Amino acid sequence: MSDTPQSLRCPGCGADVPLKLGNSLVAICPYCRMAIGRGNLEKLGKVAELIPTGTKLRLHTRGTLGGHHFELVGRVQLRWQAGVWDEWYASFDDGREGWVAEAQGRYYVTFLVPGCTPPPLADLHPGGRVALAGVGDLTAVDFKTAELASAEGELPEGLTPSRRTVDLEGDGGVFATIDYGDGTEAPEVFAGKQIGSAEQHLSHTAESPAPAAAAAGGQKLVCPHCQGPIDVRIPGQTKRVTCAYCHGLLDFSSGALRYVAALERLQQEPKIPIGKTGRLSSTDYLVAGYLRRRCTVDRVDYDWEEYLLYSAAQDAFFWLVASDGHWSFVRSISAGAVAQKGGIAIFEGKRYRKFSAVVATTVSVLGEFYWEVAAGETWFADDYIQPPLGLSCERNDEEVAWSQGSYLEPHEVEKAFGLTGLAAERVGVGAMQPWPHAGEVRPLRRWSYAGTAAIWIFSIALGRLPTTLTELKLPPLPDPVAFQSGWAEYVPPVLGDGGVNDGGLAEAALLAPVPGQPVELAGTSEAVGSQSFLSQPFDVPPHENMEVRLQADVDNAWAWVGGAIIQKDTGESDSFEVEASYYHGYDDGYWSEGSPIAAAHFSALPAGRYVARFDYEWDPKRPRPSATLTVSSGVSRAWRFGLALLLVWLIPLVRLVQRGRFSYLRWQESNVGLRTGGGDD
Amino acid sequence: MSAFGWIHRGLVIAVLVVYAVALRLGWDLPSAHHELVPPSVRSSPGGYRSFHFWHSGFMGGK
Repeated sequence: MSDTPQSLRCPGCGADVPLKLGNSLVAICPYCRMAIGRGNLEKLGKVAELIPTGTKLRLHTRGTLGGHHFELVGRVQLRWQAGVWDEWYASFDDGREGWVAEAQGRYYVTFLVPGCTPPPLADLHPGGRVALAGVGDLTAVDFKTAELASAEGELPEGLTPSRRTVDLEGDGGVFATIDYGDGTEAPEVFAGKQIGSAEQHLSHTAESPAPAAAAAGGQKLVCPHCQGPIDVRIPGQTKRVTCAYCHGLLDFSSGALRYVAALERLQQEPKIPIGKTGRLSSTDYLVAGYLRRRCTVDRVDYDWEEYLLYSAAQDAFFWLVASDGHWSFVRSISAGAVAQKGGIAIFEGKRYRKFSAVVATTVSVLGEFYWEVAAGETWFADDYIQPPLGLSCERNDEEVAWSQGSYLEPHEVEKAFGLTGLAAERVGVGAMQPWPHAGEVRPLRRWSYAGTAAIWIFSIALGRLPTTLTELKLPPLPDPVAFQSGWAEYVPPVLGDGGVNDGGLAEAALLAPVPGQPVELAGTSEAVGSQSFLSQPFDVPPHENMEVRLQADVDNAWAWVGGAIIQKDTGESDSFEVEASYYHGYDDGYWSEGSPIAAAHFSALPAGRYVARFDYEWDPKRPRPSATLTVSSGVSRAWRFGLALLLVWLIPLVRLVQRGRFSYLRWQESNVGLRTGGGDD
Repeated sequence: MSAFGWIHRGLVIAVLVVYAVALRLGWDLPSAHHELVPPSVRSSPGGYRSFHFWHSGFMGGK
């Protein structure tokens, strides 16, 4: 950048053309629009008048970037099929020369990358990754064929009538443009980054005053088709606007309204009126436009609404999307910041799963837009979700655009825009809708973990070690019964005609048998497959549960024990019965059922002296199976532990099932195959 | 905190109390056949006999 005044005489009109640079190749005469080759003051032809674009930049605007001052010394206006954009030639005080471009409120500064050879244009496609030496891996996002529309100031190169360009984005705001020119020269790569708002970097001077602020409420114009009044609320950005009276689509890219086409009348009025302002997350937004879009899946049409929001504070556009009563707030993101791997998109460290892939068609248009919107335009739209967030990738043959959405509860939209009744319009589960109880999960789990720990502690601190109180081992007949711990065989007496009660007598006799000596009473038990036994008295400790356990040597046989634990002092008894049966064989393969072990349990008995009586029965057609009968106290019971654990985890488990159901319903709306859901919440 | 959260807290506390009491007092679920036969029944004429006495013989198994 040089402050030394220079000038040349215009070969067209003779006027003095002021110059800022000593090395620019072309200067545009501000009086006659002649493009002048500085080498020999060659007349390169006249350029058209500048087209109003609503830019905030001006020739000779100065600014600072990265500690270096710069000045805008030239401008090229390029026209493509959807409008006109500006590229500003900037001269920096460190000798560098770069370009400043602006799009939708975002600014990009790029510099020529010497020696960087880009891939052939035919090898690139929107969304494709491109490795540029000295720049990095970027994503091709925008393919344009542009024509020179106008120019001003000084330029570093000749004026190319048309050129093919490819814009690329990388992570961290990296931005690059490959200029393939008209194909006759080697392509050039310009790389740099997106910078913040113009206000952060620019300073207007008397030589380059700031553009007049847009009038409050925008511009009031008249429809060239029906003469109806039209408010252009964002004149600096708006490219297209619709007429509310004749439903005409009007072009505003040149700063004047031009009738483009007739639009169909809206079948349904937008829920939020155009022009309404609302406040979301402490930011004011103007509802600038409304689109109704549609996709068709399995011959069923699905419509959704998109509201274009404008933030004057950020000078940027956002979206409010409503689908089946589910709302989301959407912002544009750099395609270069998104990595894709199969059905996964990764952005800012979060993984998003592909949810849908459709062709989205714009069916209704209302309001004003920063691009050349048209009814009927179609995009391939892929949606990825990580509730409550989502990513959307929209692409066509020339462009790819990524955006990130975040789910909004209906009441948030109602509060922001003064609406009512949105909650009732919500249908099913939204793609980005978070599971409504997600916030509960952590506290629920905390309590369950604490409960689990307490159960373990209680089990250790209050649990008892099992104690064998008495045991009877029965070998197979005809071996004599080996009575242990003073067990005695007990053959009950037969009732006489008068119903003699001898039970007490029999017990009295048996409660003090000779240890180790069987008591032979009347009757033979072997013949009927049954025997009864009575134990010596034993002590039952307090507050310990009881177990009677039968382990019988049964093989395709059964053994059964009925009996009682009888308190010696009071005569009260607790009776029980257990069966051990085990069968197995071959019947289309090996099978087995039952178990040779069986047990009966009951709660703690009052502490005291007890005797146990067992009535042991078996199949009389078979020898008596050997068995071990055990009476124990303080037995560990898994059910108690398990039931306690189940109960402390019951509600988290219920919530888990609910969440699974919620996820299942969400993925039912997906058309990419992940309909079984699975933990996306 | 939601109603579910409060219910959950209450349930966890109740479970812990019952579990501790069950451990302390030796509570168990009665399994198989279990009944209390008081002495009066046992002492009445013909009142008490063992299972084996009244039972016609277990006919379980296959």
